[in-house]
Amino acid sequence: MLKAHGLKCVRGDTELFSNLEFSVKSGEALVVKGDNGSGKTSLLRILCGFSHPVEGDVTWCDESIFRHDSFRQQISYVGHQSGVKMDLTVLENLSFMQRLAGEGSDASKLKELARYVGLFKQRNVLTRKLSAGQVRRVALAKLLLEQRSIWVLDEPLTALDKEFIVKFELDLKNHLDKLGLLVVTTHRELKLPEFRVKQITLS
Amino acid sequence: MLNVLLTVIHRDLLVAFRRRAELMNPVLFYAIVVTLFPLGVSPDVSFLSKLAPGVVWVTALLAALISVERIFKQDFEDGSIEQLFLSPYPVSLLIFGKVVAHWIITGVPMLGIVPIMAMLLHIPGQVLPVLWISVLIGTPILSLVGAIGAALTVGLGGGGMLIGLLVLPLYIPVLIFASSAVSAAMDGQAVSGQLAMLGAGLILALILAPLAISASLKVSMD
Repeated sequence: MLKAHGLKCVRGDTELFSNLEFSVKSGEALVVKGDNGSGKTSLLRILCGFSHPVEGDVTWCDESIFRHDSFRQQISYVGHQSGVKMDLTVLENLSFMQRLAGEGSDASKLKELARYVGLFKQRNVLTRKLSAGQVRRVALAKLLLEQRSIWVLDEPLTALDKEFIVKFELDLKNHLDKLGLLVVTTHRELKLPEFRVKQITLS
Repeated sequence: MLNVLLTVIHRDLLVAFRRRAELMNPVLFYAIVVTLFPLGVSPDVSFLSKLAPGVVWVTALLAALISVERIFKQDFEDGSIEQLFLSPYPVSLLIFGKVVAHWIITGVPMLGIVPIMAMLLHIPGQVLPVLWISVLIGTPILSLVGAIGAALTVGLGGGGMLIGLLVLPLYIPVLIFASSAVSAAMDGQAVSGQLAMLGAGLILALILAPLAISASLKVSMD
């Protein structure tokens, strides 16, 4: 159970949100909505433990996430900056993600993954030469590679085509079925099983 | 543990190699400064060789100062830094890999070019080993300490000047001991004291800098 207790976030002089409370269980998705600049990304960064709230706390299994670094190792985070190196090829990027996640290097698995996200032909192309949607696919491939229990996604659908979004929604659904937890910001409607979805709107 | 360290080093070197033009910058910088000195000051042998230890070391120091700013910049902009913090490995270890890669890009070319610099500045041949060793021990300290400044200022945007202010005081001891080792060797005196101090500095930096860097990055991300 991931719980937020009275979160308050201030950026510069403006207060983005205060007294924010929510809780998400394993197998549930928290969909964060709100206008541009309403603090969605700031909230996700707090949930990952990258930045601290001005007030309040976030707990996972009733322990503050800011006091337990091991919490972070359960998170897969795909932010606006995707963490993909433009000067590396698709396979090199995937291989680095795999090793950084502490898994042995497994080339056949990476090729399989490249095929799955529809980049098999481009697997040895520098990421810099790919389209924005293709780069996003590389970043999202990390989710399947790491197989962690908490997925934190910031606008994952940006630049993706319809076909891939359908596929991706299926992956999200599978993740929830396996009792994974999902926190996602999006402007578009995500097709997820309704009983699993909690929604909050930042204003 | 060692595997992931090598992975980080390998990735950073690969990225650097894909931007070959930038890769040549440090070497070019050393070459330009050292060739301009005899032209600009005086080609007189005894004068130049007296100046030489200082020139070599000031060049190394400036090159480190200029290049170290970029060490985390790209990672910060493309979001790779955050991914390091989500890895099961200690962040200080991963960061150490990045610093080693930086040293391989800036320090190792310097080791190669030092004999040529020595020739241009009329440093006697028997002093060359001491100069070379001082560069071998000294430049990793510059990378390690510089990376602390880079980590502290990476979130600020345009932190170049600030890095100088933060890091320069810590570079000064390296400059003093390294160039005085070379000067002493020229006068035929013992150099073990200065080199031992440099070595102690390197050990201290190796132990403490990675921790300071990862803590600084954490602050910069907030």
